[in-house]
Amino acid sequence: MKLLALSGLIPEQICDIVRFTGYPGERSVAHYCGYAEDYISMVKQDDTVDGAVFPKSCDSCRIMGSYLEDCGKFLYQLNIPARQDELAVDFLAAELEQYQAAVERRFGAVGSIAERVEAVNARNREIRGVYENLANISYREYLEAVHDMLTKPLFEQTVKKDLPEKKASGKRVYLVGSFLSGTELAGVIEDCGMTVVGDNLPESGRLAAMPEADPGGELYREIAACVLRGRLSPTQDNFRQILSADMEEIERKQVNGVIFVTQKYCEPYDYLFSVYQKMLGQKGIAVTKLTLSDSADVRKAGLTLEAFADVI
Amino acid sequence: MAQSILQIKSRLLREYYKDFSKYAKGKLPEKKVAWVTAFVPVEILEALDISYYYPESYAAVIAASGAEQPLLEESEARCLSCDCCSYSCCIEGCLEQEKGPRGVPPKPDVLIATNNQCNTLPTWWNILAERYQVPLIVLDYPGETADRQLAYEYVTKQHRELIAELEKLSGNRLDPSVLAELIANSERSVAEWKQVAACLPEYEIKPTILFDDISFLITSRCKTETAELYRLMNEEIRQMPAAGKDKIPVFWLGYPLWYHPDRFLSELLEDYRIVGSNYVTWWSLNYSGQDVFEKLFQAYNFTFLNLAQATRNERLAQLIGESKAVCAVTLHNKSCKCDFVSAKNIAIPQAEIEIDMIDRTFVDMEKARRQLEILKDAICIG
Amino acid sequence: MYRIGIDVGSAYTKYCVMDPSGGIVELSLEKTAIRQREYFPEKLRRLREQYGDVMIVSCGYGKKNVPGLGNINELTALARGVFYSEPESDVVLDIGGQDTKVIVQSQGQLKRFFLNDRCAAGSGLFLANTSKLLGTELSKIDLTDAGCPPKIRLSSVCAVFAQSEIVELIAENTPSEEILRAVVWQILVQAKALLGKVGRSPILLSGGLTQIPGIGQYARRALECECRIPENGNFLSAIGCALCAADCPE
Repeated sequence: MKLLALSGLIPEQICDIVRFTGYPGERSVAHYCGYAEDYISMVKQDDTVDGAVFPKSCDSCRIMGSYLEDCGKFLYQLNIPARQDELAVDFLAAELEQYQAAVERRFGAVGSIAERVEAVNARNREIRGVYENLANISYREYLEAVHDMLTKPLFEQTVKKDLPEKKASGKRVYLVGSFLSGTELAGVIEDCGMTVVGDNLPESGRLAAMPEADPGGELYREIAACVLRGRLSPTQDNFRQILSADMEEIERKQVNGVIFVTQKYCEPYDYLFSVYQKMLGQKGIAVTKLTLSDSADVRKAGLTLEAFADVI
Repeated sequence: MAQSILQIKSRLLREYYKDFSKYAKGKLPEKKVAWVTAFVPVEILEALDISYYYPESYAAVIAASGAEQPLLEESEARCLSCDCCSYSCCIEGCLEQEKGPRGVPPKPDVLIATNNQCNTLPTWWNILAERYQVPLIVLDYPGETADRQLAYEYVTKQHRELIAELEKLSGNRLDPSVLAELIANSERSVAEWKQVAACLPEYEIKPTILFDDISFLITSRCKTETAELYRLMNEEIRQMPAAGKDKIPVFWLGYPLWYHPDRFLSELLEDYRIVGSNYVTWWSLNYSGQDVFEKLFQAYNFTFLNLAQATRNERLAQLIGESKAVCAVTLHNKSCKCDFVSAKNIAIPQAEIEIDMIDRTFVDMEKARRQLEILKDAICIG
Repeated sequence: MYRIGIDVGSAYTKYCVMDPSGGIVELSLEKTAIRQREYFPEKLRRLREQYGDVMIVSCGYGKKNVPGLGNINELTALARGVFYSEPESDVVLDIGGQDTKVIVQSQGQLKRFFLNDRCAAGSGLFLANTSKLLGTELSKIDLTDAGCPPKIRLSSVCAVFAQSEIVELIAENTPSEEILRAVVWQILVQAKALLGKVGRSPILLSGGLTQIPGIGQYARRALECECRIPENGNFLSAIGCALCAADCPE
């Protein structure tokens, strides 16, 4: 069973999913954010993919089902609540039960959720350890290793810890954005003499900060709380929490500049940028914004990143 | 009779705009103020005597008065990309410059957003919350994605919580019988509006009337005057001549073009007659249910843009069938992905026009003209 | 030792030669070579023959093909060059071959910058392509008596669609100069959004467009702000590179 999950908001604890990291093949849909476009194309064209699981958390994924309805594969859309209170946790917990039931009806039993919870906790602890050492390792290689890991089933994942060391430069930057399919960008940042000391990417900073679910507790509620109470995505409608958490890390790590990476037509990050840059402006921290036209686009980034390295 | 329609409209508009800066002239509002997105259960706010305003509607007013361009530029300059919804760009520009045809709306005491229209609106409300540093309440409507009973319980708990929070804000207690009466008002407004909308294919009227006057259903649906307004409008329209049959009946699938005097591309549709529109049905909410909470759930959880594609397909097929349109103009609206996808499976030929409902510079008129000519050929030849 | 700054643009390569005292000796430009890895070593050999031992710094999209002292970012070079040539100008609008940028410089340091991320309809490439389509030379464009705004206004912001608009205009026998004026106007108007990000104060225009006669008043109308046209508007980044070479120890 290969279920392709669009987003880190789809919990790995319920059943085996493969995280979508990028698709270099032929695109079959236009108009929307490059990430959604690539995902739809991969689900439709990759015969190894048995199904798609995606959230209803932004306008692109909200309507994704409409573009996938004819693909003949298992499709499941998870409502990720636009709130983080107890009510939302209860609702999401109930939804997760139904999600599991739907998967089992189609593919058979998913196995022990408690074991998956433990595996996710253990893996994230290891990621956290590597993440806290970001300033001293190659960020590109770290990110590539994480992406590679996430494409494997959970029990086959290992966290790569023996990453090449790299001396931190005086140009300490923080990366903000959605899933960074084009890891070449990370390489360009480092080639320009900057060191990424932290990020809030879903596959990195947010994954490292995910709270641990209690394998002995009410499992669905525990998992729902992980999704809703960790470091948030801008699609979760709580900018205040994002700004507060990110700013704490930016100040603690003495960041000189912030690189904000968005996909074209990704509204949640565009809206977040408008308040993020005001906040950074008040703190006197430089920021630059890259808008990528699709998940593989790094062409125009070079000039901007070089210039930004000269500014900070 | 015409005077009565005008009187009701004037009264409603005066009441709605009285606290905008142009008219208030520094005087603070008497009641607590909420800024709401288009499908918030305003019956609750009305029952608690809280004033509510719709920034999206004001963006439409700004475009209609020809004032959107400098505000969009201001918004782009402050780093809200012009790729974002033009409603938000227009209003952000208005708030930055403190300029608008009626000034700016009164400062909110609370912001209430829902995701039963799109996911962008609650995101926009987050930046308003940062601007005004006031509480933000997001109401989550799962639509048809979740199991119905689960969705009902979740939505109802949110509605109850909303009531509790707004009671604290306003200092008032909600009287359930008042809420029930307001919902009944909304139902009556919807019933009367449906009669008005049904006139479009039958009588020689421009859709402009519907595009403009649905604003009262949006902003004032639970006020008693609104049902009366639409009843009078219905009577007046039914005295007009029957619609001619000499033009191509076309379905307008998308938002009105707020910047355009006719709210649609009239100069390109001289050979067509608009006989239907999905937009004019969006606020025809279904308030069925045993009690107030069931009614609110039914109305607000199943708004058109919150429905699954299959259900939208059925609804659209029904609307198009009733209108007897033979083709459609589908707006690929820069500001609304969620509506554009509705047209995916309609069975009639369509001309897809890349356009924006606020930014008049977005459309390529020559390209639009060519597409409509091709559509006409397809209809005539087919 | 002489210092040479080389700005390898997408259409033209600009050279600035500075003498050991920091005075500009020569400014020149040529069409950017296609086979740059073969071309530049030979070019540098000829420059060394002429000036002796030189220190070379390059910028621009082809900078890595120039075997010199090193290369720098073109925006950083532009900031240096602007401060050297026009020290009072802090906001610069540079319309290059491939993209358009706004920078803010202070004391020759790059402080802020914005690049257009829209289509090539906002860059010099659009003008170059249009000239080619019309069979005219770029050097023949003259805006001295051009009406503002131009008679024709293009509606497309995308180069592909704009090109089809232009093809239609040609088919309608629209005079070439009117089409070219419309294209220049469109390029400038598209740049307004970038200027909005830094606020519109007197700006300095740089890049190939500065060579067009009459561009100053035309840009003033299109951009709705005061525009200065520097004497060496096409060479500011090359000048900046030469200055950076001058910073390096001999």
